[in-house]
Amino acid sequence: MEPWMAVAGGDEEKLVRGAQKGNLDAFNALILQYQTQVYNLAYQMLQDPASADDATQEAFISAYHGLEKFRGGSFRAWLLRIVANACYDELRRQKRRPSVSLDDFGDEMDEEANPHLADGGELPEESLQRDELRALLERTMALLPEDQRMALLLVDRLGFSYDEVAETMQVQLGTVKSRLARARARMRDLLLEEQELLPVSYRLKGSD
Amino acid sequence: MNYKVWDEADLSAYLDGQLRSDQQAALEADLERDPELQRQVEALRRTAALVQALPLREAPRNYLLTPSMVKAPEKQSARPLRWSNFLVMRLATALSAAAFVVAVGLQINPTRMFLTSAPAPLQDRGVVLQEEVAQSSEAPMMVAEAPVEATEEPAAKMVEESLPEALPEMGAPAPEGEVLPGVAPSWEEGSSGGEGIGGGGDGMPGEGWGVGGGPAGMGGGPAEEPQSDVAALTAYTVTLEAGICAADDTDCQNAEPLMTPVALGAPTALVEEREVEAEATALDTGAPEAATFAVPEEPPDTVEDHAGPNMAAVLRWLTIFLGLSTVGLGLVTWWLSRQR
Repeated sequence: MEPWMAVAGGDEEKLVRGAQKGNLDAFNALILQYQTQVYNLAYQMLQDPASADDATQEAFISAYHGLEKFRGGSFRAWLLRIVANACYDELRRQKRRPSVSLDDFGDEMDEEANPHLADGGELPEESLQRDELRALLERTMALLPEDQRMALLLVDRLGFSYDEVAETMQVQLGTVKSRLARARARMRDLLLEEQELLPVSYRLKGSD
Repeated sequence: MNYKVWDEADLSAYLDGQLRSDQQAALEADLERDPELQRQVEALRRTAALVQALPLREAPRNYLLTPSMVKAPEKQSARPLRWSNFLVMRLATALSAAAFVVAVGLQINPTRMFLTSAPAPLQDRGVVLQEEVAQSSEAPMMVAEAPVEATEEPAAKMVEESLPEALPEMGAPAPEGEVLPGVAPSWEEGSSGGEGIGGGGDGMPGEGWGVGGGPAGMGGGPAEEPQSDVAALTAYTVTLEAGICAADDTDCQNAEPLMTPVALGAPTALVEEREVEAEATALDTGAPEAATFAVPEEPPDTVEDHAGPNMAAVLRWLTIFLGLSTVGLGLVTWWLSRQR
């Protein structure tokens, strides 16, 4: 058993305190707890697996060195704020030196359809359908403005509360509401245009 | 009950249970009687559900930290160091460029910084400049330091040669003794109509000062040659106005005050060889600003002669060095900015 697994059972507050005292195992337990969320946020924001991987690793290193600045509250909101800032920095850098066109994202994301999540008992058709749906949603989310996309990801993908989003994005609660509402409305309109690609159960204009 | 027009922010917040309780009750009441509102809320709900239902991507690896990863002091210092290097290089480039500009400025227009440290050559040689400003009716105002300082060996020789011609026409008394060195060459040019002086072999190669010595400009036959003599004498201190005057006799008239007093004064001094506080007289008689103005116009060669060993050459090399260093620093700074 790895040492960090020994502390992984402890509650988050205890792990954070331990990490703040320099206990790397405690921090690694926190990493295991949040790395999926961190990576997904970075992936959806940056639209590139390699960039997301780098941003995730760098974010954890930065978080470890900045642990003394954490004064309580939601640890994951604090952690995701570091990732979000790293993503914004990277996006600004990419805008200064664009290297990949937006048209490339769709193909890349199709190819990147993640095999890890394939359910062993899933039928091939179901897997294909789910991959197509993922590709469609990710492609659609990529069309949202960055702030709206961030709000949508945090709430609807990572299950953050509005307060946590406000803390992560460093904005007022009202701003969170409006950004999220605009993101959802935009997603609704975009998906309506491609309704035939959606599963019947998710059709926005169902028979019901 | 008031019927509120709900916006999408309200509907979105309603889906998340983020409306105030009174707002939520009001919205639910409206939903019961408004099918269109129901469709709006349902569309948003399904959209959110679709996004929420999509499984997260699995992280491609574990991001566990090792002690070496979190220590890595070089990684911590790498960025700030590079950034500070960038700032330092920017500052250095700016300073170098500023110094280069100053150096170029000094090249173009040597300041009195050099002249103030230069000894007065006439005094060094034990020759006292004699002046009777009263005689110089046309330009009584100035005999500046500059002409005194401007005197040079080559000029002195030329004065000795040409002085006999000048003296009779001036009607001045015969010289008692030695000839004052320091009158610049080629009065013939000056008397024959305003040729540029200083182009040839008198220690002022390459300088383009045209000294207008035309008869019209000087306004008197007998005075012409002495005037042009003095124009030559002052050639070393001739100002930009003198340069301009080479192209235009009218301008030369305007520029005369810079030259004529010297022109009349210096030959007189040669002849009478009296001890005169020439500078004082000149300044008393007028145009003190002309005297001070002539000083910065000391040509580089004179500066070189008087201001110690190769001051101008040092300045030239310094300018070249600063120019090259500015370019080099600019390139490095640009490269660093690209690294960012």
